[in-house]
Amino acid sequence: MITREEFNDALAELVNVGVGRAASSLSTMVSARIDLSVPKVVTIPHADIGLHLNLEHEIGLRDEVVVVQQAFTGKVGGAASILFPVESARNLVGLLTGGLLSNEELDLEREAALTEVGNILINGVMGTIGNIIGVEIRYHLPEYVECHADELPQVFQQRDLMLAVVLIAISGQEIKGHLVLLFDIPSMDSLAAIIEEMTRGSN
Amino acid sequence: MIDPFGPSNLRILDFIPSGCCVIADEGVIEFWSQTLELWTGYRAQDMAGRNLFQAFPGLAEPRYRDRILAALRLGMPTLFSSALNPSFFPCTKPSGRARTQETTLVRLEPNAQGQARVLIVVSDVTEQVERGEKYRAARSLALKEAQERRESEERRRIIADLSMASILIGDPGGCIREVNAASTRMFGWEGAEFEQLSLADLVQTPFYPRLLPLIMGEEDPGGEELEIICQRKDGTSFPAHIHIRRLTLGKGAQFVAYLWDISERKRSEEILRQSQKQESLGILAGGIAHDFNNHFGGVIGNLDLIESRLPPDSPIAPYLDRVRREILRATELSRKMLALSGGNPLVVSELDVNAFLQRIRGGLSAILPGDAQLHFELAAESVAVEADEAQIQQVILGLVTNSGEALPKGAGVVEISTGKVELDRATLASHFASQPLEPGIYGFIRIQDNGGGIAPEHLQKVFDPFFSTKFSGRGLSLAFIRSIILAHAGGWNLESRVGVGTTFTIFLPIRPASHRGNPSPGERPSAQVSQGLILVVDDESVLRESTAELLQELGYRVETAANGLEALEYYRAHPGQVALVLMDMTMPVMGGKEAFMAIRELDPQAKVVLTSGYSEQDVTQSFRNRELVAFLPKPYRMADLAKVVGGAVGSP
Repeated sequence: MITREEFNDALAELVNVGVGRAASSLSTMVSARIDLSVPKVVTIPHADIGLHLNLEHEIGLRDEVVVVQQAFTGKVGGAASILFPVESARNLVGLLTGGLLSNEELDLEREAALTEVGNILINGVMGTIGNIIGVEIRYHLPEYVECHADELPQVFQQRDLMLAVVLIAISGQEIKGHLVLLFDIPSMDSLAAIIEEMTRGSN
Repeated sequence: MIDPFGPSNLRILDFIPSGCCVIADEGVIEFWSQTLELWTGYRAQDMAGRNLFQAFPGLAEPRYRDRILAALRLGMPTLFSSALNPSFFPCTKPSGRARTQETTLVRLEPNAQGQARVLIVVSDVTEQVERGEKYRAARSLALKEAQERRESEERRRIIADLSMASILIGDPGGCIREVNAASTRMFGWEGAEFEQLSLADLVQTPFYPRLLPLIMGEEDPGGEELEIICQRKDGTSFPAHIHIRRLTLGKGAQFVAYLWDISERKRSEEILRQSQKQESLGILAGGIAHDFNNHFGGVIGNLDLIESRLPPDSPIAPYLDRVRREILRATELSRKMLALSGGNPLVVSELDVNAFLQRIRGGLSAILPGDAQLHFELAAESVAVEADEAQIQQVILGLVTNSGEALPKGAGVVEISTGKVELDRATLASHFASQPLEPGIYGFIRIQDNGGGIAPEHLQKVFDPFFSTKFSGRGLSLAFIRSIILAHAGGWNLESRVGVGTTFTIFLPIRPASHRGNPSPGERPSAQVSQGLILVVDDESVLRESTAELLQELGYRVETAANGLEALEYYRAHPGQVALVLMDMTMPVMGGKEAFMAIRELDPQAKVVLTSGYSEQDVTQSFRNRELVAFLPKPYRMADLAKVVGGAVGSP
């Protein structure tokens, strides 16, 4: 049985590859240089999510949050989410649209734009993970949610959580976003087994 | 399982209002819905089998192609939002506007050949986006207007805060709703505290009822300003003018009170009133003193004549001497009246108050009753003021005399202390309201006794020239003291409680360091001895004749004239014969000044000594010093006359 650290390291590597692809997709789309930081990965049992979400240094979310969540099912089930503090979300849309949609409030178009950005990032990461672990996964359409940080445990439902904090920098401006991979509790074990098998296979 | 998106079932997509397209393999179009036909003008039979990226070269760009192929290969649902990719399949609306699209790609089951398939669903969101744009434009305009309103409000607030007047806005019940910065300064309440206050809390009770009809709108204020007394947070009061206007905004009515503190104006008016009173009294006192001096001059001159003709051991001589002493005491009174009129000139120089008091300490002790004690509490530092030492000495003597007289049975303590104090504008306004002092550093001399004190009802009157609760000239003395202090640009403070004692403090301007050192006395022209007669000119016959006789007694030849014109005519008729003109200033027909000018016209070398019952300053201020030989104040004794005349023309 692999240890928690080995599991985290393996997942971090997968996420890292996926994040690289996502950055490339985003850069292509907006014709601007986009850098995504190397993700910092932690895994959190669902029971501790509330506790961790309160730790500002872990997730940095306190007030209103924009979430783009894309569920997946199959041998490994769960949901991949991108979280932005509202301020970061506004800045991101402003940069992507060249300031066209930089008003204070989020509206439908901004919602669509943010959903697309979330979709690109999640596809980049999950496509890579799915491809590497070689397991058939079915993906649902992305869903856009605005909520308070305190409500995030409900948004994440009864799932264990793997949290990767990613910093998105566009044209030199830093925008903080968080990639959260949520796995149905049984799926975490399946994933661990798959990764253990892959690790053994590669040894 | 039946695939709902099998080739035979795809036509169902013709019935939904979104554009639908299915691609397989590397982008080959399998299905092109009727909606897309309508939007793009491309027919389904033409599109089927074509490669998507060739049919729409825009989609061959990596930003589209990579994601479309990823959707095909990995099955990832993919979105293209209208904000970032407005035209997936570029086409226009019937109106000619570009059709804005929201596009979703989802993977279908593989086709019969086992190739991966993706369904592309394109929604027309043109109207939605336009509504968003309109909303944003309207919101932007509203925000701009709100910002302008905020700025306008801020400008209004700044203007109100810059106002020196208090501006109070309140409701018809009198409750204060808004105030400017000047209000907090004027009333001492903090901004938020005003919200708990009513106008009635700021205006003293007798004045508030007059304001009620104005704030309730029952009376049109017009341009009327009302004078009221306001009350500060600390309970102190101040006079103010108030102007009230009614505002009707929306459903609510409000009043705006514009209110300004008139304390300073009142103070100036009081100073002016005091000064006018003083001036009138001065003119009156000066006139009386002048006439007295003329009469005293005649009496003293004749006394001197009588004395000069009596044998040295005459038994009448002591009586004459007594009469002369009484006349001289009366002359002193007359001199004080002149000082009151401001007629005595100041000879101001640096005066070290501590050293000065030590010098006159003996004299001060001597004027106190035998059982009284004199204590000195002098400042450790030097207190150098600008003052006329002789006049300040008179002031101190007068005050110490008063203190001595106030001591019950002549026993008690009189303490004199000194120091420096800064009198700022606020202190001047609160404690020296009727005194025209400038803010600055002052030296003070405080004379305190533990005598009977002054009754409160008398405290304000003690400075009136003719007020006195007892005889001995005390009343005139305090008026005299005040005149001297005013002439020094100084101030005073009098505190007294019956049975406790009185404290009188004199404040004198500190001498600027740059002025330190006494000026050298001016040079007087030396008199030249000459021959000739003395022409005595005076309209007072007694004085004229006695002066003539005194001069003759001294050995001079004398002629007289009753006014300036007579003197002029004599001078003209006797060229070269008049050695000196002794001329009164105030005379009928032709006054001393006019006659002086005319005689000088005749003879630029003419020697003229002016004499007057007014002070030297009053008389000589209209002459240049070098033009006059001397000034002889009335009344004068034979010895004074001999000295001045001898100085001008030499002894006969």
